Amino acid sequence: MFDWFIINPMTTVLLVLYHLLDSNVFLTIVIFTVLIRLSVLPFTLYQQRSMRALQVVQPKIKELQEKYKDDREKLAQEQMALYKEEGVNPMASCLPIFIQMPILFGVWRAIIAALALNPQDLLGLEHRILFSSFWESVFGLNLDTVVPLNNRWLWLNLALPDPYYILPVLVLVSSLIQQRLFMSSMNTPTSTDPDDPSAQAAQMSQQMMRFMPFFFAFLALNYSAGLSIYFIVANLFSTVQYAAMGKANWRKFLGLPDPEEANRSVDELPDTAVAVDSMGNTHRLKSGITDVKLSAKPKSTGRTKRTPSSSQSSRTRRNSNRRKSK
Amino acid sequence: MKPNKFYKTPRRYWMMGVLLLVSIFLSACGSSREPWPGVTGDVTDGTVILSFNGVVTSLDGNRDRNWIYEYENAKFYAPGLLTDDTVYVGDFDGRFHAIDRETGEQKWVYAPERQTFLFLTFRSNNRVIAGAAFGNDIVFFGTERSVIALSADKGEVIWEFEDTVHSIWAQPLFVDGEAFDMKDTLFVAGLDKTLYALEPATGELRWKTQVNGSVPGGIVLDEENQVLYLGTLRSTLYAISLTGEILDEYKAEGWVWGPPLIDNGALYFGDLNGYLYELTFVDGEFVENWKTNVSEDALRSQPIIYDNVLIVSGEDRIIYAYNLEDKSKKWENDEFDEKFLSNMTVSMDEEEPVVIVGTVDKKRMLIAVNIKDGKRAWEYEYKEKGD
Repeated sequence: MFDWFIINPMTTVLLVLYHLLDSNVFLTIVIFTVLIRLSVLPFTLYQQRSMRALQVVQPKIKELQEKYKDDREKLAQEQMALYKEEGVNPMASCLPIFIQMPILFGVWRAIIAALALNPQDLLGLEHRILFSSFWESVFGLNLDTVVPLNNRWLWLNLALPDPYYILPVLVLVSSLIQQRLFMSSMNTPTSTDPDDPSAQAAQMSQQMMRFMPFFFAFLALNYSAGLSIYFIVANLFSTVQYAAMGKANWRKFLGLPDPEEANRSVDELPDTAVAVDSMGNTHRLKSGITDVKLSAKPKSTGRTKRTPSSSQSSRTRRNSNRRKSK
Repeated sequence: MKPNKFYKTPRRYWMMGVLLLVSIFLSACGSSREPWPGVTGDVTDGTVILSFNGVVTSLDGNRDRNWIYEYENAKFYAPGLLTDDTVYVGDFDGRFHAIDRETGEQKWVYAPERQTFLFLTFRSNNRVIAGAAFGNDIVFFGTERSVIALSADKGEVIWEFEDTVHSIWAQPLFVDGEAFDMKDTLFVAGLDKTLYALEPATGELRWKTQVNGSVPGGIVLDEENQVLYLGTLRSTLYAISLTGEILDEYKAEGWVWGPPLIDNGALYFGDLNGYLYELTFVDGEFVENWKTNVSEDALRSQPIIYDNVLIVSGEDRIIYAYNLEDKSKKWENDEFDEKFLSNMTVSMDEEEPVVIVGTVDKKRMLIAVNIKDGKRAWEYEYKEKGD
């Protein structure tokens, strides 16, 4: 079943592309990757929209948490009602990752089959080519003539791992860039409530995104170099797509202070004292601290100043409320 | 305990666990299937050489183990080449081994130098998948990148032919020219859809002929007609003269992998759609004498004939035997659970002829079936040196 719906169509597309692209195996994998990424683009966009939607409802979730802090059951009910009302699925940000897994698996098997990693892979290739008579009669493409794909490109045997470890490094770097770009444009989850599915989903997504570059690098290190090219092109595609949609926060990506975010955060924290030093940098201070010396020359670390997040402030509030109730 | 940490830590580990499982699943299912074992035999003394995974094993005619050969982390899947005193076999790191046929001691190993950078030793990007050829005290073998000739006594490189543009999976063929009024020639066919004729002493290209598809199996020589036969992945069997001229093509039902077997002037071969053929080559043309759909799955390996019995084994886990005279089915054995994709060989078991075929099941690495009635004779379980 999986072969019929995922691996065989992908293998056929790979062979058709190879035929059309004058047996250029690198270009074939690049175009194939772009096609795959375009086909899963709706899932990717859905995931990104879901993560943003989760962030939008966070202030309301916070309000609910304040309101029902002593009644967890009611809180959960209200949260679910809010998600329903706002049309937000808290798990939707994770779902596309799991949907993409079978596709990744299919790509992997298709590349292995088309490049004939081992004799057994080549043996089954004849039955992986779908509609061979159609391709021949309509387009004049006899796919039997191109199997297996030529596995040589530059210093690589594309069926085998890169002997010089260059591709695994590129996979890791491109994955980290993509991950950082995506995460830098997202705000950290404001809630860590274990009963809040949105917080769980956001954390799960972030954990997965952190882990994925290393997972892909591990695959690149051990398996076909053709698959590594797929990963690199897919990462570049995602990066460009994200940037082209205007969602990339380049300042944050490059580790530069983001004035817009600083102002926004300050506005969102009414119980936090704010001070501006002589260099024009904004400092947010914990509640209760009113007297503070600001140095004339703030230490420059080359990184964005870590500001207390709203989650920390809500935690602080929760703790102080607990103390009061005692 | 901070609430954030309390809730975050287990979830993170849970996520890591899920991803680890996914990676294990992908690694297990997504990785390529293991190649079938290399099996070669010598009918005269019943020796069988098995190449699989980390060892090369020699069994004698009484199915007793002569020796086991291991080398570092080498993986062996190419069929060994047996000469009077040596077994030659390549591995999946591009190395080539000469092993004493009697004792299993290493005679020499050809190991291409690995490049290093600081503390890193780079991996080999080359494999030996096919068997080797022998002639004029030179041993020839194909790799993923080239054809290499080594001196048989010391394993020194004599030449390397690097004009191939794809892997060599077909066993090369050395032809002693004396019998055919021609120079000695080494024939090599590759996945690059080309048959190369090389000068064995120098590796110089004499001629090359393009065929319509990749050639994964070997080449055979019809001494009577002075013709070479090879099958391609475009379902074609070719007849090519010793000077490189394509004489005829026969269109099969499926991809042709194993080279044909020549017996009494007839050619026998199977295809990956499960068809079995008998052809003759008459007046420069193929003539189809018999064709039957034996199996629903692939017949990959070269058939064998023993005492007028034609035997083929398939991916459908069945071994079939046909009477050569009337092409009636003599027997079939379907009691095994593993695909039969390796080469077959014939040996004797207590004076009864048996056909031996390899599987990828380590419990039944080799299976021997009695040629007379198709009954199981014995099985050999895969063992490593310490077992």
